Amino acid sequence: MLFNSLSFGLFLPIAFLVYWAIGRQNIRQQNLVLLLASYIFYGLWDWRFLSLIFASSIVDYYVGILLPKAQTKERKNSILALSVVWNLGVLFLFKYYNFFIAGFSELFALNAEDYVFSSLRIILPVGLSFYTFQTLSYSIDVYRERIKPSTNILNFLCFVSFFPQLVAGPIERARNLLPQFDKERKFDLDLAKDGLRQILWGLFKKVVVADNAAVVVNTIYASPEDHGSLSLLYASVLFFFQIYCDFAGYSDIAIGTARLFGFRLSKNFNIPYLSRSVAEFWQRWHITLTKWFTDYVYGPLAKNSKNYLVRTGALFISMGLIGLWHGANWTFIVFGLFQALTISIERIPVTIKGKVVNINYYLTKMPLGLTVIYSFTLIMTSCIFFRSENLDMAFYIIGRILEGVPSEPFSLEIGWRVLFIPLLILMEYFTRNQDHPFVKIDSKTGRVARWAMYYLFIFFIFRYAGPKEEFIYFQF
Amino acid sequence: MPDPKKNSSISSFKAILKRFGLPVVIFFIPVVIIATVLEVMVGKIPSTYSIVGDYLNKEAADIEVAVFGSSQIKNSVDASLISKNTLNISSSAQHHNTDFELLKGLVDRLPNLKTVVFEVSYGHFEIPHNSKYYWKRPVFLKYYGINTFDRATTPADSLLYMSHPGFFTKQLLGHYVKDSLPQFNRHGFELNNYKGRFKKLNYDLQKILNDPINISRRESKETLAYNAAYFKDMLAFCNNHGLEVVIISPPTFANYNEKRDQNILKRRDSTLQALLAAYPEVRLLISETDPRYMVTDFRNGNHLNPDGAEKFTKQLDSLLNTN
Repeated sequence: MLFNSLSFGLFLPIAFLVYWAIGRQNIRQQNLVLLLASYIFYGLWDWRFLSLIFASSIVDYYVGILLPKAQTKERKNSILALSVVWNLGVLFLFKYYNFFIAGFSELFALNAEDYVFSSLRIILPVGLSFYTFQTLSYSIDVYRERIKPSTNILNFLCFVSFFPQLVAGPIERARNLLPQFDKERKFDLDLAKDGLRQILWGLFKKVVVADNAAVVVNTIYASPEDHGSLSLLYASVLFFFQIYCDFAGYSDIAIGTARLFGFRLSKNFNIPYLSRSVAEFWQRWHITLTKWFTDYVYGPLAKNSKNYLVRTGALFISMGLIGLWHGANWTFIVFGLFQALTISIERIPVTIKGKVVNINYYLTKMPLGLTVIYSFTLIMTSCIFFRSENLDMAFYIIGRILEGVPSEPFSLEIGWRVLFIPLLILMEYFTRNQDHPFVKIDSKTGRVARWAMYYLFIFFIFRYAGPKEEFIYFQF
Repeated sequence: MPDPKKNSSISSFKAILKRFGLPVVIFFIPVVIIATVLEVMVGKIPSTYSIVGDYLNKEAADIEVAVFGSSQIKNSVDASLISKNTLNISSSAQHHNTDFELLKGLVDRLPNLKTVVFEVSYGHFEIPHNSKYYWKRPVFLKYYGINTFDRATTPADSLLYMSHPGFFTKQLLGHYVKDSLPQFNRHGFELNNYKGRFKKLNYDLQKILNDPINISRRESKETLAYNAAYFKDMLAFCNNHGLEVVIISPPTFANYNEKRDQNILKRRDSTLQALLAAYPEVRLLISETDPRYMVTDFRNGNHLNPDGAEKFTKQLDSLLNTN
C-alpha cells in the first residue's frame, strides 16, 4: 500500500478511529490494534512475507530474552551470532544472493548453467533492509547492555512492524521506539495536527516535486546518447531532488502518520542540499541509516582511533556497505565509495602554524553559497552512479557532461513545473530549524489563512502531480 | 514539532472526535466533493479506453481478432477497416507485459477469438517492460473489466482521477475547457489525429530530415534476453489456446529509420527468426521501410496519421484474410 494511494487514504482514518476508539482503554489494546493494522498494511502488499517479519521478530525477541541469561561471554557471543546470521542471512538470500552468484560466476568465467548454485527467481520483500537493521540493532544493543530486553512479545512485534515506518524507515532504534510501545498513549491534539501538516508536506514533496522531476530524469537517462551536456547536467541535478523529495517525502509522511497515533519517530533528513561538505551531507541525509552504520560498523572498526589511516579504512568499509545496502549493484557500491573518497580527502590533516586542521575546517569558514556548490557538485556526481543502470552508463554520462556536447534543443521537459524546486528550497530554507515548513503555522496565521494554505497545497498535489512513481526506497 | 511539555492531550474518544475529527472532516468535505465531481467528469470523457471498453462489452461474443501494442499500433490499426470483427486494445507505451496481462484477461471472454496481433517494432526487445504506467490499471479495470493489479481489487481501484490526477486534470481541461475533443469511431480509433511534428513542419522533407527525433538507441542484451523469453511465453500461451499469431511493425519514416541502431535491428530480426523457427505458423508484417508510405501518411517519425493507418490496416486485413 503506497502512502500516496487512495487505499492508504481510506486505511489511515479507519486505523486511526479504531485505534483511539477501541485502543484507548489500555496499552495492550492499543498495541493489538497497531499490530493488526501493521500486518494488514504489509499483507496487502504481499501476505506471504508476513511470515518473514514474524519470524524475524520472534528470533530477535528470544535472542533479547536469552542474552542477559547467558553466563559466559562465549555463550553471549553465540546467541548474538544467531541474530546476526538470521538477519544478514535473510538479507543476503533475498537481496544479494543473485548479485554475488553472478559476480562469482563472472570472476571464474563460469556459465550460469555450469555453476552448481544457479540464480534464484525471488522477489525482494518490501522494507526488508529497514526492518532487519532495526531488529539487528536491538539484539546488538541488548548484547552491549545499552538497553534492557523487551519482555512483552506484543510490544516487540509492534516495534518491528510499526506500519508508518515499516517499509522505508526511518530506521528506529529500540531505545527510542520500543519504550513508546510500553507506555500508554493519550491523544495529543497538537501532535496529531502537526502530524497531518507533515503528511501534507511529505505528499507535496513526493507527488509534486519528486514525481515531476522523475519525468525529466526518466526521459533523459533513458537515452543519454541523445542528450547534450546541459541536458544531462540538468537531469542529474533534478535526480538529486527526485530522490531527496521521494525519500524525505516518505519520511515526512511516516513521521506525520506516527504522530497521529501518538508516536514520535526520528528525524531522517535535515535539508541535505545545504551541507557545507560531503561529511556534513551524511549528517543531514538518511540520518537514521548513517547513525546505524556509525554505531555498528564505523565505530567498532575505528575504535575512537585518532589515526587517519585507521579512520579512513573504517570509513571506506562503512560507506561501501552503505552503498551496498541500497542495492545489489556495483553502481551503489561506487556511490558509497565515491563519497568515502571525498570525505577522506576533506579529513586529511594538515599542520599549519602548529595547528592541525583539515579541509572541513576551511569549508566552515567559507561563505555558505560556495560550500554548498562544492558539496552539491560532489553529491550530484555520486548520484549519477546511483541512478545509472551500470558503471559504463555512469562513466559515459559523466564523460559526456564534461565534454561540453551541445544540448540542442535544450528542453525543461516539465516546463514551469521545475519552479516547484526553488519553492521547496525557499520554504525549507526559511524554516530550516523546524521539522517541516508548516510547523509554526498555528501561531503565525489565523484559521482562514491556514486553511487557504493547506487547500493551495492540496490543489498543487491534485493539479500538478507527476506521473505516479513508486517510492524509490521501497526497492531497498 | 509541538512542545512536548505543553499538555494538549485528550482522553475521551468523544472529545477526540469533536476537537480533531470534526474539523478534519469539515476541512476535507470540499476536497471529497471536488474529487467526486472530478471523478464523475473524468468518467464522462470519451476516450479510446472507454470506447474500446464499450465495444468489448457489446461485441465480445463475435470478436475474432485482438490487436495489442503501443501507440504505434494504436495509431496504425483502424479496426473498423478490418473485415473480421476486431478489437484494437493497444495504448500508449503499452509493452508486452501489459499485452500479455490483457490477453490473459480477455481470452475466456472472447469465445470466437482466433487471431492475436502483437507488435514487435524496431526497439521492442531491448526496451525494458515498463511499470511506470501503472496508473492504467484502474483504466483497464474500469473499462475492460481486467484486473492487472496482481492482487484482489477493491472498488477504490476503479477510480480514475485519483490514479493520476495530473494526467486526468489535463484531460478534463482539454475536454471541458478547451473543447479539444478527438473524434473516435466505434473501435476507439482517433479519426482526426493528424497533429504532430510533421504537420507542424508542413511536411517539408528537408526540415523533417533535420529535425531531432526521440528514438531509443540503448543496446541492452540483458533486456533482449528477458523480453525475448517473455515473448516466447506469450507465443506458447497463444499456441496452447489455439490462437493464430501475427507479428506486426508499422511503417516508420526515413528520418526515424536512418537513426535506428543497426545492432538492435539485427538482434531484433535474428530473435524474430529464432521465434519463427520455434513457431513456424506465426506470420509477420514488418512494414518499417515500406516505400509506399509518403511523408503525408505520418504524424511523426514513428506514428502514422489516419491516412497512413488506412493503408496499413488494409495491408493487415489482407494478411488476415490469406491462409
